[in-house]
Amino acid sequence: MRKLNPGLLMSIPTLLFLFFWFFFPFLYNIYASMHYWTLYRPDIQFIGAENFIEVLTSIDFRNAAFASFFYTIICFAVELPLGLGIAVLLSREFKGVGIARVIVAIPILMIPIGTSIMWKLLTMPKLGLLQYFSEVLGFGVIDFYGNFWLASLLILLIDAWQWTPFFAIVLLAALVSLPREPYEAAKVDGASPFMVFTKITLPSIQPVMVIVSILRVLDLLKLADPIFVVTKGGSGTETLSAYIWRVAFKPLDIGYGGAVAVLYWILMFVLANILVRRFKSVIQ
Amino acid sequence: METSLKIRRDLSEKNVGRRSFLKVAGATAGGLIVGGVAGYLLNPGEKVWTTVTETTTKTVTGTATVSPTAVPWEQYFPRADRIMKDWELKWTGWDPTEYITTTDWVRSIDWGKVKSKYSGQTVTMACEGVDISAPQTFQPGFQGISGATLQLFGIPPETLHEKLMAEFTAGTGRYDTAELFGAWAQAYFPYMIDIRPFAQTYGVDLKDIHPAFRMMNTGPNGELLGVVEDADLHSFILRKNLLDKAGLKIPDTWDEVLEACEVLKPIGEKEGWYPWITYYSAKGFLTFWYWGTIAVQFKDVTYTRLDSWEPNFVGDEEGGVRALEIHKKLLSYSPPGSINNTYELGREQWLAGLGAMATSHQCWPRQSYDPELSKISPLNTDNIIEIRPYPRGTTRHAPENITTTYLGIPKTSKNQELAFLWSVYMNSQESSALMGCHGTGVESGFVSVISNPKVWKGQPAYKNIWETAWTAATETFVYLPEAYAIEEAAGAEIYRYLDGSEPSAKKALQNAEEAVRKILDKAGYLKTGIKPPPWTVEDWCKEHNEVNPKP
Repeated sequence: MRKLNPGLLMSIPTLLFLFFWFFFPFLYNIYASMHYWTLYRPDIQFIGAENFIEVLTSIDFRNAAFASFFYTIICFAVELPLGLGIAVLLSREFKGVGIARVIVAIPILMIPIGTSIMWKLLTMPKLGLLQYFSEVLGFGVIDFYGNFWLASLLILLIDAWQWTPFFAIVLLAALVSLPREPYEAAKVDGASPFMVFTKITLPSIQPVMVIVSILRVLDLLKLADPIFVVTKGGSGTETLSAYIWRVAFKPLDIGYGGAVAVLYWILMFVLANILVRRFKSVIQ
Repeated sequence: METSLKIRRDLSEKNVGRRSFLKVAGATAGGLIVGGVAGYLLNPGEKVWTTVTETTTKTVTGTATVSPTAVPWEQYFPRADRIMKDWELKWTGWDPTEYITTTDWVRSIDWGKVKSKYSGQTVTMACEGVDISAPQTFQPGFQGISGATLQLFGIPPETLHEKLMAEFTAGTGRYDTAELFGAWAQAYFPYMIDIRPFAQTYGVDLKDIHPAFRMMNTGPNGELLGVVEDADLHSFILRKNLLDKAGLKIPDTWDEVLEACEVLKPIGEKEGWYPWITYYSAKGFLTFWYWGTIAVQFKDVTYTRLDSWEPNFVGDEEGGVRALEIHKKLLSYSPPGSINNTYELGREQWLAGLGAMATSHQCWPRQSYDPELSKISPLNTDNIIEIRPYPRGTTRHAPENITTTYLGIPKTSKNQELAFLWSVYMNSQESSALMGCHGTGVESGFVSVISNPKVWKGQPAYKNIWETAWTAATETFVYLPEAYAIEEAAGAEIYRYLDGSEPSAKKALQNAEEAVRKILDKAGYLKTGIKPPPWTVEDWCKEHNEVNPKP
């Protein structure tokens, strides 16, 4: 009698977990997306690809996709260099560096909704602290909620405030684990700090940078908390996650919402594949 | 460079032993436990229900009616001195030990029987987070009178509907009673019990609830899906002192409102306030509601045609277009960012004194007087708060009572009768009068309360509500389970005009009609040829053979 592979046996709980928490809901979602199905009504109706066509022709979906990519790009473009700069600073030894590292890490520990609410309170017209300083400095009341660009600036501030430390901490760990020999050799050769940074440090931490960047990009594509709190999806800031909440969970239209979710997943899957393949050599 | 090398060396040379790790982990866990216990012990806990002395029982036999079997429980009856703050009693001039309503079903129930049956049991309630102070106010009294324990769960209003629907459709039975928005009542219908049998058992007269606030909660066969907890109509509120200073009379029409805003704007810029506060306008159903309250003041807008479900937002004389233009103009007179206002933000702006005029539910006017909540309270400033009927378009309706909230009892409730008793305790005539006058944000819907001049002193907006409720109108969509989806879809289209992505108000409304038409068509309403139910209180009363109470 053939012996059962012990490795396979030990994997069964994980496989079951994956099946019930991922594969089955995913397949069920595809099934739902091909039906007219709201939880208000007991009957469901097969409609094929109608939901998908409606999603792809919906201006709201296109706007939400644009907003998702827009915030991903601007947040990433700010958080990565800023996080790297903070990591370089924190890799030096100075008095209080230990406390500085803890303080830098605090924003990551806060719940995202709480962070967003905090920033909303700071920017409330006439009532928020930032608005007070804005008026004192002569800029008047700033419309952070009703104007797309200013609302986007606020969303960028919220996200960067909370997640730049994520880059900083991961890159700091990479920096402190670098071997010392190349630096000693560079010192002997008389290389400038800029050359050392660009020719030794950056290439050495590149794999870590790529990995943390991919993780952060995929995370940014799911951006939702600041949108819910600051604008409720208004002023053109509605991202795909906020859009799904509005069209799936609010009206309980799991058919249409399911179609949006499937398309969203395809988008993320394709992007993740592109990124991993593009940077495969770097990661390896 | 050298510094980073030093750090790396130091780290590699450190030995983190098992013992030291356990010490640190133990210390951290201990700290968390101590902190958690301290936080729990320092929690102020429940409000203590004021106990009464022997002398107060004398007032029981005064003008208010109290059943003899109820006398031992009198100490738990909602009464002014047990609910109201000192400044409220001073302001109203009431005798705090007298009841302000002459009939109250709490005073007629045999609580002795109730306590013997339900003592020790638990009843749960899901409520809107912003209004949680209302049930909290009555929680100690109910627990005392019934012997049961009441557990409250507050949920943010923007997510209340979907959270409750998730619970109901999953059949979790988590809540014995839940606060349900009347506008979406039809979605809840299949999951709720009809409370009429319990009402009959306990002698609860539900007809005292004004028809304007019963329209949405009544089923096709007269079933009633819950006691009304929060009966809202909008009023027009203003700080008359600011208008007087500008030499303005109180506007009566929307055009006059806009003219007044234009005059007030430069004054407000100097003094740090705005002509208008937009109650709510955030993308989705809030946009639709706000536009709708203005649109129904134009007689050609009826949400749907009266003889079919065909959407009617534009109006034959483009009244809906005018309303949307007014909505956008009002935003320009409001604090920046008001386009995305929700109830809480709008309220904070009003109570902080950022606006001269607004339309809102009757909670704002009452809260304006509260010196603890409001910077514009006439009790400690020179402000004069006026409450008037809604500005007129080509007609005047009391705006639709779309935010009537009632306390429904799910079929999955483990304790339906106890849940019913809680719902009537919290929402009796006296309870609701006190709630309205106490500024909890939750308002009475009883004819006997809103028409009571004594109560007007504590809630000045009730006079206006009593005078206008008989003219109220409601969206016809509230009779459909898809109401929420319809409001969200229409609101999203209307919002496009407000944020400028659609330049034409008429096009935005036409797009909204199209979005709603799609939903109605998919659900089969456009094929059936059935007329929508009546949308005005007057017509509803005619159809149900009821009197429409008027002043």
